[in-house]
Amino acid sequence: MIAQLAQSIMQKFNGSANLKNELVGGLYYQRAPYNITSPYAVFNITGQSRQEFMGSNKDALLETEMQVNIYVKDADGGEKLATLLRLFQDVFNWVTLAISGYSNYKVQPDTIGPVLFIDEIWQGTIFYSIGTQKE
Amino acid sequence: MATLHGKGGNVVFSGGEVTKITNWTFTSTAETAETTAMGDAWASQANGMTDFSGTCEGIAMTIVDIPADIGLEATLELEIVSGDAAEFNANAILTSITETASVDDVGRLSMSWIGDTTSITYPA
Repeated sequence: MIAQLAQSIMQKFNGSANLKNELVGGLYYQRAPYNITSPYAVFNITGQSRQEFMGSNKDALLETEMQVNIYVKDADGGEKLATLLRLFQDVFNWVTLAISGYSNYKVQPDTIGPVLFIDEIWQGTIFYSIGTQKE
Repeated sequence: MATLHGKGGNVVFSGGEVTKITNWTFTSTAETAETTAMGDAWASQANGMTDFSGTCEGIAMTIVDIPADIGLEATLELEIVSGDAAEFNANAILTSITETASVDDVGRLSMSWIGDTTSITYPA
């Protein structure tokens, strides 16, 4: 279901005018292309756990951990990064995603990582727990 | 008797399956009356009444109709493997239903029964 989840994240992003306009370089799953325009973001799935039910092996609750890294390549990019962190949360916090074949019962924001400035690039991270169940 | 995994279990109450359960318990107890007298080296007991109780936990909004079924006395089947061979089967009263909702979890349900029975069928 990870492919379907990644697809629904991209669909949600592409449908959000404010975030998409600010994040000029775009949002990518797993890895951004070379020579990317700043600012850009990359999300990946860092883990998944299951809550099983008796009597059925198909309708377990899946809790998927997702990490979104936002990069701003700008010496004065701190404010832009803060804006992007807020816009990302406006779009994704507690929404219901349309995931093909699954119902989504939560997109829970867990943590915002410390903002870093490494190799001339500002970096911010948001961690999500996404709850789904196979339909 | 073969070892059975709990994953295939099931709970049926009053003919209706309680869906999406995560566990069930069955507890059977016997009362005793103490018959120890002065001079005895060891305490002695007489067996008394036996009883059973059951609980299950799962996801909320299952088949049980809360206002109608609380206090209902009906057949309770606690199955280790779904199907009739591996189950505890007896008459029981549904004594409590607890539903919870929390901000970061799905709704949860727990139910308790107490036995009102002359016999219990055990797994074969």
